[in-house]
Amino acid sequence: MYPHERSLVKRLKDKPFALLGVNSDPKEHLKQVVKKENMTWRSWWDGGSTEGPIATKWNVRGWPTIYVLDHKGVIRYKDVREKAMDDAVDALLAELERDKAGGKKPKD
Amino acid sequence: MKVPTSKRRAFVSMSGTPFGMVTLLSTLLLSAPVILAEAAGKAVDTASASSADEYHALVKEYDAARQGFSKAYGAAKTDEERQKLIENYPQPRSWSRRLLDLARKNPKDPVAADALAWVVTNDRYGEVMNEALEILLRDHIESEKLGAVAQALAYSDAKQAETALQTMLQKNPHHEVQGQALFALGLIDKSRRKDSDAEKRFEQVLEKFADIQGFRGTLADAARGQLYEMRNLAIGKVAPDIEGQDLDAKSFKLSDYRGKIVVIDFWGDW
Repeated sequence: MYPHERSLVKRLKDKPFALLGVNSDPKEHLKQVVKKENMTWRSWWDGGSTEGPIATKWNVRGWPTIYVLDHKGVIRYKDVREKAMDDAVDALLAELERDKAGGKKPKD
Repeated sequence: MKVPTSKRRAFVSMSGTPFGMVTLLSTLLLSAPVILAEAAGKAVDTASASSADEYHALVKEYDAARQGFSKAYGAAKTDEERQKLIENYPQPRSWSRRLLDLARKNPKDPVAADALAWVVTNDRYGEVMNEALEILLRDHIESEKLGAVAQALAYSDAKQAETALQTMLQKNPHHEVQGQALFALGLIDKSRRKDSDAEKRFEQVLEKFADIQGFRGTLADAARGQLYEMRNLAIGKVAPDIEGQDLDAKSFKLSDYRGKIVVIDFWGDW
């Protein structure tokens, strides 16, 4: 999963896209992993356990759990991984492009 | 590899997410020839002991095999070593067959319910589990040991899981078992996208079974979490904001990223 995430973040570095983690590890461990795996994306540190405040509020019971949000902050996909995650993100980026193009249309 | 408590781990690996990393680990794993050979030797030693001793010996042996795996996995230096260990992961199947046999041979012994409950909670699908569940419902429907069975059935693919849970809800006299069965029925409804049925079940858990201890706090906490997820975290809803700190103690918010496509990944390095 780390290699896939690294390549996704790299591929979309110039696009309006962000990967954000919510991490349940002890802080020292998180620091080591971020360094070792060369993670360039941010994670919230959720208090060092699977019972942290963010995971609890979001009712997360299995790890990893994935949510994909569009540019308006609307939840559009859940638990998509690897290629399915790429496809979901690409579809939403295309939608955002269409929205922007639509917004720039001159008014009649 | 982080090894949470057995209860936590069971829940993590039972999670509704079908491709969870932990889930993947436990589904890919095959049985270990070396450990099994050793196990077969031990089983002969315990054959003459009482059925309760035999039950405890089998469970201890399984726990030792799992601990041995975790220890070896933690000590592994390369991906090849880890891969090899995963291929030889101690599967519950070889123990569940022997526990089912033990229960069959001692149907009147209270240990039969323990052995059958172990099978259903550890070996989660297939003929052995189906038969164990059938005997539990037939001979042990009033047992207080069915609480753990109800929890496991919430994540079972077994066709009869829903019927079994309804039977427990109606016929088991124990408050805790009834509560776990009702909550599990809610989870099954939710996974089948029967949202209004699921919501009713979780509301009932809040009314009648709030005090029972569950995964994260009480069953009431769990039911509230489920209802919150169904009402606020469904596809099409605006995600609630997240505020917190990164590993350098810098604060940031999900809403800072509005205007961008965002993947939120709840993760842990285990």
